Amino acid sequence: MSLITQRLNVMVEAADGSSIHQKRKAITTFLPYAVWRYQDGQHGPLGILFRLLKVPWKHRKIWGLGLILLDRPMFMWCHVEPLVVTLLSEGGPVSLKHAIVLASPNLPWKQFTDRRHLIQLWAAVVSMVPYTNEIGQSVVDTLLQIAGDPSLQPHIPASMWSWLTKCPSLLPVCLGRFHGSTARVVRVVRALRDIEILKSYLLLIWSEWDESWPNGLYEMRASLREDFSGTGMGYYRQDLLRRLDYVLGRLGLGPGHLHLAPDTRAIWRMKEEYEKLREVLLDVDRDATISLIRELPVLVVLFGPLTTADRHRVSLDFYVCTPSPVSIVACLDHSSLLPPAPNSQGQSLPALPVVIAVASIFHPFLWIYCRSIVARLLVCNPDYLCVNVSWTTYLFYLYNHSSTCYTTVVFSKSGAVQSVTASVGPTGVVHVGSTWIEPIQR
Amino acid sequence: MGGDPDIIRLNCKPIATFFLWVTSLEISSEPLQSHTTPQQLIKLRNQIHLTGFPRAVFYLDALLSYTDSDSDRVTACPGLEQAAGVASICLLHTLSSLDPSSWEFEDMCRRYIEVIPRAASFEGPFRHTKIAIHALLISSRDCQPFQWMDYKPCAQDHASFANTLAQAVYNRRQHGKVPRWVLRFALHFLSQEPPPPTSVVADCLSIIAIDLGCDISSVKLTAWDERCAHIS
Repeated sequence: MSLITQRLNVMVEAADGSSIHQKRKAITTFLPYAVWRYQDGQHGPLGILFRLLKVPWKHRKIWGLGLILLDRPMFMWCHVEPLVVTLLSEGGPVSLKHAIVLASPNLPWKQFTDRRHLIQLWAAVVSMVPYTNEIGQSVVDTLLQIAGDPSLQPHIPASMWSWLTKCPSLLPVCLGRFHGSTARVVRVVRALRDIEILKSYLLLIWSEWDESWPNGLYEMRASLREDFSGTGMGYYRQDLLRRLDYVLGRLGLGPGHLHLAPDTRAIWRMKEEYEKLREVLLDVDRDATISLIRELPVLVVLFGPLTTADRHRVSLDFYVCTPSPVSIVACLDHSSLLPPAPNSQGQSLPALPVVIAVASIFHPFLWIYCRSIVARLLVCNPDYLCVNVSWTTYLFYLYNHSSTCYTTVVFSKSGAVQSVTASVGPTGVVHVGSTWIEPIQR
Repeated sequence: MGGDPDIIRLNCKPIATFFLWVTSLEISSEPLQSHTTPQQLIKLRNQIHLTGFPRAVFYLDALLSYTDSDSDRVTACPGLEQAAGVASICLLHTLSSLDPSSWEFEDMCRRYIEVIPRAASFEGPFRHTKIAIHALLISSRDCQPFQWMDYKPCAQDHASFANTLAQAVYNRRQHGKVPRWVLRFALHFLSQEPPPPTSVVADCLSIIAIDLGCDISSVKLTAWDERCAHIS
C-alpha cells in the first residue's frame, strides 16, 4: 500500500468527516490517478476514495429556513469533469461504472458544463450496473438531487423515475432527500401521473433524518388530497400511513436515538409536519370511506334482481389489509350460508368457517363500528368473492389466499350496510363499485 | 527598475552581466529554448562567476529589470521576453528551495512588491512561471487565476516546472497547507489523457502526499517517483 493510500485508509478508519473535508482538494487530485490504477487492475486506491465519499461531514444549517442538513465532504468534482465524462462514457469495465454510479450522489451536477450530456450518460450507465440496494441508494439520491435543481431537472430521462419504485433504503446522510423535497420536485413527480412512482417518492422523502421544504410539504398535502383520494387508493394510503407512523415513531424517540439527526427543535418541527400529513391522509381515508358507503346502494341495486339460489362471482378491484383479527359479527340471516363456489381460476375454496359471534346491529355504537370496519374491508385486496344472496341480506364470503381465511360482509337489501360477518383473519376483501356480476354456471 | 537595458547596465553590474549573458546567447545564434532547464541555466550562470551575490536576489532583480508594468498589467520589456523568461525560470527554481521564513525570502518579497502590484496580471511567454513566482512571493489569493488549460510546455519544461513546484511545496510543508493552485496544477496534469511523463506524475503525487500529511522525508527529493502511491 502506498503512502497516500495508507493515509487515506487512516482517514476512512477514523471516519473524521472534518479532516476529510479539509483535505478534499488533495483527495480529488488523487482521483484521476486512482482511476488509472483502477483501469490497470488495481482497485484499492479508487475503492478507498469512494469509501471516503461516504463519511459524513457535519450538520449544515440553512439559515432563514431553520433547516439543518447533514453534509458529506465536498469534493472538487467540477475540476475533473472530463474524467467524469470518461468514467460515464461507454466502454470500460462494468466495475468502474459500478464505482462511478456509487459516487454519483457526490458529483456537483450543476457545476458541470455539459450537464445534459452527463445526465444522459449517467442514466445510460445506471442501467448497465446490476441492481443492489447500494446502487439503488446512489441512483435515487442522485436522481432527487438532479430533480431538485431547476436547470438540471428537465434533462432527466423519463425512464429514470421508475427507479423510485425500487424504494431503496436511503442513508441518513442523503442530499437527494433534502433537495428532492421541494414543491417543484413534488409537482414534477405528480405530473408523471404514475401513482406507484408518486407513492414511492413520498415513502422515500418522508424520513426522520431530514426536514422537507415547507413549500414541498404544502404540495405533498395537496397531492395526498388530490392524488390519493377515492376508494381505489386505499392500498396506497395504507402504505403511506404506515411510513408516517414509522417516521413519527422514530421522531418520538428523541434526538438521543437519532445520532445523525437534527436538533431537538428540528425534531419537534418535523413531528408537527408529519402529524399534519398524517391528518390529511386520515381525512382523505375518511372521505373515501364515506363515499364508499354512499356507493353501497348501487351494489345492492345490482344484486337486487338476484334470487336466493344464485351464486355469483364479483370482480374485485380493491385491496386493503385490515389488522387482524377481523371479528365483527352482526349477521341477521345465517340461513344463506352456502358452500362457496370455485374461484375464477377454477380452484376449490375451503369450507366456510363457523360464524363466531352474533351481535345486534341496532346498537348505536356497534353500528358505527360496523360501518367503519366495512369501509376498511372495502378497500381490500380481492382475490375472489363468492356471493350468496338471501331475501334480506347479501353475504360476501371473501377468501384471501395469502392468509387462507374467509371474510364475510353482509349488505342489506335496503341499501345500507346492515351487518358484517367476518372470520378471524388478518384481512377482509370486498368490491363495491363492481363493474360486472356474472352468474356462475351451475 | 524600468525596462531600459542601458540603465540596467549602468546601474547594476550583476544584472547587466546577466543581461549581457542572455543577450549574448541570443546574439551568438544560440537562441534560448523554452525547454532549457533551470539546472542547465544555473550551470551556465555559474560559469559567469557572479560571486558574492545571492542567486535568488540576482534572478529577482534581473526579472524585475526586464519587466514593465502598466497599472496591473505586467509584461516583459520589448525585446527582452526571452531574458525575462529565463530569469523567471531561474528565480522560480531558486525560490522553491528557499525557506519562506528566512530573511532572504522576506527581503525578496519586499523587493518584489515594490515593483509588481499585488493584483498583477501577467501576459506573454512564461506567464505561468511568473504567476507561480507571484503566488509564492505574495499570495496566491491576490494573483490572477492559473489557467492550466493553456499551459502546454514541452516535456522537459513540464518536468522541470512540476519538480520545482513539488520542491517548493516540500520546503513549505511546515508553513501551512499546500496552495490550491499547486494542487490544481497536479489535478490538471493527472487528469490528462494520455498521462503526462512519469516524472510529472511522480511530482504530482508528491504534492498530494505532502498535502495529506504523509511523511515523505525518507524519499529523496531528487529521486521522487511514483513510490508515493506505489510503496508496497
